Amino acid sequence: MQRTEFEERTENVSVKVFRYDSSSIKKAKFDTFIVPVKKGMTLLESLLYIKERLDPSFTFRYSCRMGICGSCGLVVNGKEKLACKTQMETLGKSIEVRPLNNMPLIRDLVVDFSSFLEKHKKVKPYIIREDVDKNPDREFKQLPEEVNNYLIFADCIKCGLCYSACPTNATDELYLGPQALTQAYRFIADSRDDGQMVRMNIVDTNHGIWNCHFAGSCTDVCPKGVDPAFAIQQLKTLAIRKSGFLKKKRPAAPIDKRREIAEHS
Amino acid sequence: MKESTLMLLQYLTGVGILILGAFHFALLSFAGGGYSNAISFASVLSVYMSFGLVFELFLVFLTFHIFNGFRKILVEIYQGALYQKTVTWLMIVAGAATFLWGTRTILIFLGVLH
Repeated sequence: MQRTEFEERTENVSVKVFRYDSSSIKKAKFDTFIVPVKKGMTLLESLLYIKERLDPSFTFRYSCRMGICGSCGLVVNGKEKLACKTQMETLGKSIEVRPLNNMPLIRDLVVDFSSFLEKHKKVKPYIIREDVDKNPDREFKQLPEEVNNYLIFADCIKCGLCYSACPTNATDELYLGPQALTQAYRFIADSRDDGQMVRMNIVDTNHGIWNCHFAGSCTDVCPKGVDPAFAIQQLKTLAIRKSGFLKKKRPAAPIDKRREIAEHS
Repeated sequence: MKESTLMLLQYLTGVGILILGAFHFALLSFAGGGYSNAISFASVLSVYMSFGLVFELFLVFLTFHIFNGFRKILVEIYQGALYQKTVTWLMIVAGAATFLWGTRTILIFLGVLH
């Protein structure tokens, strides 16, 4: 029998996916699907193939398909990955896909991000300054070196992979987690920010920075190259030193008059 | 007390235990006559008499390091305000009891208590 061009270029891969439905009798189980994988196909495309052709009830979360939105985080063969950034040919012939750890399940591969996002909000992930209202017409300039202090941590897309991989989050549900702590450091390291004391009081607690055991799995799984383990160790150093980093930020710079004139002319 | 202060003390007492522990083993291994002589009754007694304050310091370091470390582990495994408060107070009481009992032993060896 002659094979079609499509068949010749594909390879069948067994994809075992976790299924969960709170309304069914057997709430949790694994289903295995055979997916014809083409060169260049991502895991997300495989999951879409399952949903479109094999089982429309299969549920998972995704959006941008290009590693920006952070919606398609999953545990693939025991390691946290973004489905859209994972090439099928790197995963072998048999794949096991599970939902992210340390978050409550909603359905199949979809988990509830509420507590994760609450913790993110808790560290006040925004610039805090007292002199903003006093100087509404001023700008807060930064040198390139000052931007470099926090730039790597600003790449976080809140995908939750680090939170899922963190062994402390598995035992301590109140632990702020690598994502929130990294964002706390991201703003503390920002030369425009003056909210260090406020944030240090939030992270220097029983379920804050000191519960990090420096396993490093957060950094290992981060799809954007953010280094949460490093950020948490930096926060520990700052908490121990207590001084130096707390010095007042320089005041807002007056607007460059030449630029203002140029813009209005 | 802030968690960072407790952890700083945890690190410092850890270093202290390492230094005093090394001193303790050095005393056993190298001081006059080697290990067999070091654990003879007369030798142990003379060491206690000479280093009573050092032992007391070792006891302080050990008590804080052990019970604060234990508290940290227990508080991480389970959560809840009442549980945390109970664990903290249990560790304070257990630490104080250990410290007092250890001090009593040292004072007996020093001949202060009988």
